[in-house]
Amino acid sequence: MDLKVVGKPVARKDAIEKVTGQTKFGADIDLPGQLYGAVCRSTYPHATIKNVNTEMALKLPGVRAVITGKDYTKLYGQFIEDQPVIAFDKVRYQGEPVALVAAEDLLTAQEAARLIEIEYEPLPVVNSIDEALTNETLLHEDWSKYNIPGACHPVQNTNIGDTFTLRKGDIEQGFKESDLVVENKFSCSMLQHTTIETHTATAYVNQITGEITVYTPAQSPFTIRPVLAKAFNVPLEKIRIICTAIGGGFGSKYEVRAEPLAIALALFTNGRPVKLQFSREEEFMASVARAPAQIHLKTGVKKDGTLVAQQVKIYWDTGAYVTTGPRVNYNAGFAACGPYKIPHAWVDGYCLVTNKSLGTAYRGFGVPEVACAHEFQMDCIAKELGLDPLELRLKNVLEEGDISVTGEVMQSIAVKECLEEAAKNIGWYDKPLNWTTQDGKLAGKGIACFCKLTGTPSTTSTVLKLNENGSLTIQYSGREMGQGVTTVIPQMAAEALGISLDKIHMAPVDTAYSPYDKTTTSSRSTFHGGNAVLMAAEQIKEQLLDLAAKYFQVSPSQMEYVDGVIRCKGEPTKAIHIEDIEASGILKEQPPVIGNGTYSTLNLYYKPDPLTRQSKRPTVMWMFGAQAAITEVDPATGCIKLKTIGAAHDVGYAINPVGCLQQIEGPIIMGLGHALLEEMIYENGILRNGNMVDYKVPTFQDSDVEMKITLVEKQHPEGPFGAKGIGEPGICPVAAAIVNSVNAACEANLNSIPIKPEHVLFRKED
Amino acid sequence: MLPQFELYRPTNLLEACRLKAQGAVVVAGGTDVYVAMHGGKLRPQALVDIKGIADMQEATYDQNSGLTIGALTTHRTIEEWELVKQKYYALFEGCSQVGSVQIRQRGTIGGNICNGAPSADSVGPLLVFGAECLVVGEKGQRKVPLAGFFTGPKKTILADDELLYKILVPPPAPNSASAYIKYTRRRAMDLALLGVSIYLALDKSRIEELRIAFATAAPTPMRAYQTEAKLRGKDYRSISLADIGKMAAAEANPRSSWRASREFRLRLLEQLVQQAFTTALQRAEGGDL
Repeated sequence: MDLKVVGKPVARKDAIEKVTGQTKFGADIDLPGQLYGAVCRSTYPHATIKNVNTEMALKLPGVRAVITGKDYTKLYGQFIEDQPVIAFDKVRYQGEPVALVAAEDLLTAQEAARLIEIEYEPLPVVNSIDEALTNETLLHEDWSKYNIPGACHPVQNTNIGDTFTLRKGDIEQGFKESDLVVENKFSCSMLQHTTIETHTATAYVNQITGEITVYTPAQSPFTIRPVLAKAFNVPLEKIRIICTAIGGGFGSKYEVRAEPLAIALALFTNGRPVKLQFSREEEFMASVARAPAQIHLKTGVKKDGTLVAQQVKIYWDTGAYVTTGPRVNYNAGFAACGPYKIPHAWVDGYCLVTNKSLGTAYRGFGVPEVACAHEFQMDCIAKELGLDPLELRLKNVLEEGDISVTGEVMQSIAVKECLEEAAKNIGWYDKPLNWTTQDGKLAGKGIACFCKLTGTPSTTSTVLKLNENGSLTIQYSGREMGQGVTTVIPQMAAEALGISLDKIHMAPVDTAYSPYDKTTTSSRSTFHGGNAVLMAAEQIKEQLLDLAAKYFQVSPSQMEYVDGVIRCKGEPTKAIHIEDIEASGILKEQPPVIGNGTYSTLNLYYKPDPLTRQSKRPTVMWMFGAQAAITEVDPATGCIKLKTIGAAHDVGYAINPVGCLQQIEGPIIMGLGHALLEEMIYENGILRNGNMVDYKVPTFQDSDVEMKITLVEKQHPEGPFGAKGIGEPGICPVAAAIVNSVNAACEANLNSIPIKPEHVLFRKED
Repeated sequence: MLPQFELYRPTNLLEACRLKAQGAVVVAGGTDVYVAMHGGKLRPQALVDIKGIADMQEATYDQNSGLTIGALTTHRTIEEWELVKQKYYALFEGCSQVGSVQIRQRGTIGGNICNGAPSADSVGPLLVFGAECLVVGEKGQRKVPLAGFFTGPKKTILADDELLYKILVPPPAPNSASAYIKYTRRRAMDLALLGVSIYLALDKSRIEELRIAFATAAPTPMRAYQTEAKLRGKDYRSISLADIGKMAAAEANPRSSWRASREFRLRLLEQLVQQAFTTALQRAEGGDL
């Protein structure tokens, strides 16, 4: 196929607007007559609320509404309805909303929030996975009281909010057949998304119709709409979500957060809008996070390195409410054994509730964590058997036609190519596992690979409208959050229709008129949105062929659409180029040219067995990739410097190659933060480092990592132009590769991230 | 969002002192005060912004008396001052590693000192250069050695009405050199997990003068006086680097916190003292800096 627009590096369509400051983010929304919201938050991580006194706050001039949990006792949640909008009987994490204020200005609102007096009776605090597992203090005394609208499996009388199992073969038999059984554990810290834009929402309620409108930088308007409708007891269509530009998502804006608070206030302000924006302190303490994880692995292997059996137990510290925990548990559970052939595999995942901020979606949905664990384990096995870490992986990776741990015959799989390319990109074959540099630093190399599924089944719809001048408007609800979806979707439409890219525009996303798209997560937009757009484009073509046939007075069957030219077969004079469609007059006083496209993966999905997870096809698209790292460690001070990352990711087909590279470069630096710097530190339920100085996101000064990236293009048979997703894959193997390279450099077995200098100096292995 | 407060912007030093005595919180660059206010940790009724006091901005050098640095001099000014690089290299190293360019453009050396943080980047270098503080109050002015300025974490000897007016730094000996090593988890926008400053004057291989200061190794910035005294007059070739590190670290009293453990800080201190000493030595022998 001779492709003109896709496969070419193009400038992002949102770039100029963003770099010139014209883009309207959530915080830029200001509505006439708006009030400002403030949240009175719990100072205790776990306590019974004895009394809330709002008298002083209500007396403050300018205050228009003060509401407490008593005003709103309905619970909400996407998977399990365990969370109050405003805490009413007890608080379960530091920063949980206890009362809300709306006032004429922000200062007054904040002052009023401070004047609210709350009487607490402190309860014992559950601060960690280990403490949660004792079940001595239960955060949620009775799971059975909650409604469970999604896939969520809590265990009564425990702190377990969800369980996941995967069973293939006979694990004990597998260990018996093994020459060597290796047991290890790996821990990952709690992370903040640290988006530049904090959570924000502006809401108002129509006093006559009861329609609730909310402006929000939501990632997934169609996922949160039913949650909000249910939480506020209104029919679905009475919730209108108008999406603002997203100032950083990474999963943090997948769930509702500021929206229910702004709406709750707006119900009490006689129609006046309420704007609510989290401060950075609130964002750290009481928005969302990546759950800490503890992963135990037991692996049986033959002397030659062939994997026989692997048992994985994953414990997620999912915070005070279950939120998206079950989905993280599910996605990570499927990926926990890595992209390897393992005849006997068991996985058990548990979401444990603790008195901390809420663990939820974070780029990679649990896969970066399990990749750290299974790739750490692979290196431990390689060490025990005296094998090269790359060789051990290549021996075991899944290839075309191999059967996965969930019983699927793998197709369109390029892990091997990715491993080989990533290795080449750091010169793996020319280097020993470790060496000492001229200036006395300990250097080492490490490699890691992963597999990640995309959420299935799911559906995406698009509407393409050809305007009277031949320009095209795309209605599509995939949200731009830096990943480039508003560039690749128009690229694909341009390719299909032969319309130039600058004549294609993305409509704003508003649930009042935008077509359904399940969610902007799971690296799914290029794949699903692309397929839907290509289907819609076919309808546009058909309608244009009909109109042109009428104009040329021939039968539609004599018409064809080639490279943007609508023409009569064999009659070169009877042709209209799509760029000249306005001048041609065929659109005048005609029915509108509108194409619909709906892509759903429901029909190709085989629902995995709930206990074993065996399925012919659990996902429409597996994503694979590998990264190799070189790091240098100063033996005197323990300082770790990531020097080089060689990456190779199977993107199926790169619609916008420069965009793909950016989607790998960014997460390499993000992953450097995960591996070496970032952690939310809690002591007895109190967050110690909830600010940008003490929570250490890498700066530009830390980002001078040499990167060499290969895009592997093994076209996916069902992907648009063969494309797959690349939003999350870049992050999945980064920390794992860095950990392995540090361990190689220091000849250590450091098994938790972030690896800190003191771990290196004191060899603190858990 | 900043809570409401009254803002005073005097151009007269004594007026500023009077406002401070009345309870107004002094703000210069605001890189500490406003952060604390944003975070809800500080809720002052009134702020006195002293940036309008002209002679606190001046910074001069005289070959006999050395540096006279107005308390409002920014880190960036010091960082870009060629003379500081030539004669007070450790001070350049300290000021040029504060936060980021934006913060150095606002943050002042006086603010860095008066904030009283044990991690202050400019304080260690100033300590080893033997700096003195010129303090002004309603009743007049007094001179205090910087080494005696700090009384505890975030606490200084300044009386309610007193402001740090100028910092006086004597000229270094011609045969001397200095070094500041800042240890951080990341390479910008970070506080010193530890800092080591060294001033070294050599007479051939004899240590004529040695001063060592630590950041974040005790509740206040501190000098390692005992180690200095033990090494003064010695031939540096007769002492092992490891011993210097151990000796100096033994004077420190870091605490364990979620940022780092005491044992890690002590271990690191031994290393950083060695690195700082070696660096200063190389610079002194090289005849430059």
